[in-house]
Amino acid sequence: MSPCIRIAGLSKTFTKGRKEVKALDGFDLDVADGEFVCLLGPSGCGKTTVLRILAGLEVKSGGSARLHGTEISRAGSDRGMVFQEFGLFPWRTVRKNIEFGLEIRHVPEAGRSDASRRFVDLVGLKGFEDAHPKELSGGMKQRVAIARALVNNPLVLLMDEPFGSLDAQTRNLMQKELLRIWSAARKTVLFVTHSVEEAVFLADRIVVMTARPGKVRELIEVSLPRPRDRTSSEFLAIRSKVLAELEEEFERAQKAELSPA
Amino acid sequence: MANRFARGLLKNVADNWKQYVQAAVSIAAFIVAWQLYSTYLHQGNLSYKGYVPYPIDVAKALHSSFVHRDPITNLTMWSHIGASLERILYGFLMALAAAVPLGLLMGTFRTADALGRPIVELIRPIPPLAWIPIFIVVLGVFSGPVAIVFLGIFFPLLLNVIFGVRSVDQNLIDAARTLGSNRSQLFVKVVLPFTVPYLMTGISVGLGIGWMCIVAAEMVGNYGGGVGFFINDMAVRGQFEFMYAGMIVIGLLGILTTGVASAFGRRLSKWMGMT
Repeated sequence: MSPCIRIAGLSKTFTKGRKEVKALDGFDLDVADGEFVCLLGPSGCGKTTVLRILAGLEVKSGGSARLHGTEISRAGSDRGMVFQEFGLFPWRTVRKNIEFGLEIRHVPEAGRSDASRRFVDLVGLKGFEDAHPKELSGGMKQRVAIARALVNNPLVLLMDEPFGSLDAQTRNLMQKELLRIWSAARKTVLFVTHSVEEAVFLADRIVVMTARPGKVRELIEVSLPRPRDRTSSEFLAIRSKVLAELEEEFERAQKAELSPA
Repeated sequence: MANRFARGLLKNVADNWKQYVQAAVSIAAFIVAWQLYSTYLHQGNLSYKGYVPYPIDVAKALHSSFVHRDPITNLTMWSHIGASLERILYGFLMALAAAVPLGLLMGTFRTADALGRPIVELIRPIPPLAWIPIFIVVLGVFSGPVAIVFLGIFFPLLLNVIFGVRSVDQNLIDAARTLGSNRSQLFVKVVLPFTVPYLMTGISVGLGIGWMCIVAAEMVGNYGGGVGFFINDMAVRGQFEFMYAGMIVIGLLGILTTGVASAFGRRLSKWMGMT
C-alpha cells in the first residue's frame, strides 16, 4: 500500500523581479496514514512552501508530490489546511464558518447542521455556535479553523504554524487539544512549526529541514508515549538533540550567507 | 416599535449628551453671529442689506415655504423636496446598477481594469457640473439633472468597489480554496461579502456629491420644481430670506441622506459581523 503522502525531489523556485530564489530543492518525504509529522527548520527554509504545494495553493517547479498515489495539481477538499492567521470569514458565525466546505459541496441543510454540531462538540465550542470570529479569542478562532478543515473529512490536515500567534498558555492547551482531536478524528497531520518543544510534544516524527534551498536534513522519530511530559528526561533528551541539529543548520546557513559567493 | 425607537433615542441622548450640548452651543453661536452681522448691515442705509436677512425672517420663510403654496409656481417646499429626491433616487439607482458590476469586473480582472481605467481616469476629473449644459439640451429638464447626479455618484461607487475587491484578504481566498471552492464560489462567497462595507462607504460619499450636483443642475434646468430650482427662483425674484431657507433645506437633506446611508452601512457591517 502506498503511503498517504509521497514527496520526491520536490523543488520550488520563486521569481522576485529578475531574481530567482530557490526555496526548495530535492525535498523527499513519505508520510504514513494517520501519522503526525512536524516540519521544523530555520525561517525561510521553505517549510510553509511544502505545505502550500501539498494544499495546491502553490505550483511546484519540479519533482513530485502525491496523495495516495495521485499527483497533486490543484487545491481540493481532500486536504484540509489550517493557517496561522486563522483565515476565518468575519461575516460568518462559528457555525457558518464550519459549514462552509459543506455549502461548497451542496450538502443539504439538515446534513450541514448535523455535521457542524458534531464538530462544534469535537473542538469544544459548544455555546459559541452563533458568535462571530471577532468575538472569539485566538485559541477559539483556531478551534473553529480546525473544525472547518475537518468537516470536509480530508485525508490529511495541513497545519501552517497554527499556534504561532497564541500566547504560551493557550498554545500548550491547544497542543493537547489538537492531540485529542487527532486521536478522535484519525487524520494524517503535517504540522509546520519553528518551536522545537511543540514539535517534540506533538510529533510521531520530526523533519528537520536545511536552510534555503530547503531539503530534509534529518528525520527524528519521537517514540515517547502520549501524553508526553515536557519535563521528563526523555523529552528533554530528544529536545536537545533536535535543538542541536537546528542550531548546526542555522550556523551553517549564517556562514554560507556571510561568505562571499 | 415606536416605543423601542424612543427608548433608543433617549439612550443615545443620555450617552452622548456632551456632544449634543456642544453641537447646540456651536449652532447657537453661529446664529448669534449672523444676527449681529445682519443688525450691523441694517443699521446704516446700505443698499445691499437685503442680501443678509435676519435669522428670524429666514426661519419664518422656511416655515412658510412648507405650509403655503407659492403664488407663482403653486408649489410648496414638500413638492420641491419630492422632485429633488426623485432625481437623486433615479441617479443613485442607475449609478449603483452600473458601478457595482463594472467595479467587480475591473477589480477582479486585470484586462478589464486595463481597458476601463483609461476611460475612467479621463472622465473622472471633469466636474459633473461641466456636463450640465449639454445634458440639459440633449436629455431634457428631467433626465438631464438625473444624468448629472448619476455621474457624481458613479465614480465614488466604482472606485470603492474596485478598492474593496482588491482588498480581499489573501488568507480568506486561500482558506476558501482549500475548502474546495471553485472560482465562481470564491467570488460569490468570499469576494462579494468582503466588498459590501466598501460599497457602503462609496454610497455615503456618493450621496453627498449627488446633492451638490442636483442643486446645480436644477438651477439650470428643471421640470416640476426641485430645491435647486427654488433657490435660484427666489434669488431671481429678490426674496433672499426664501433663498436662504432653500439652502438650509438642502443642507439638512444632505445630512439626513448621508446619515441614513452611513447608519445603514454600520448596521449592515455589524449584522455581517465585520466590525
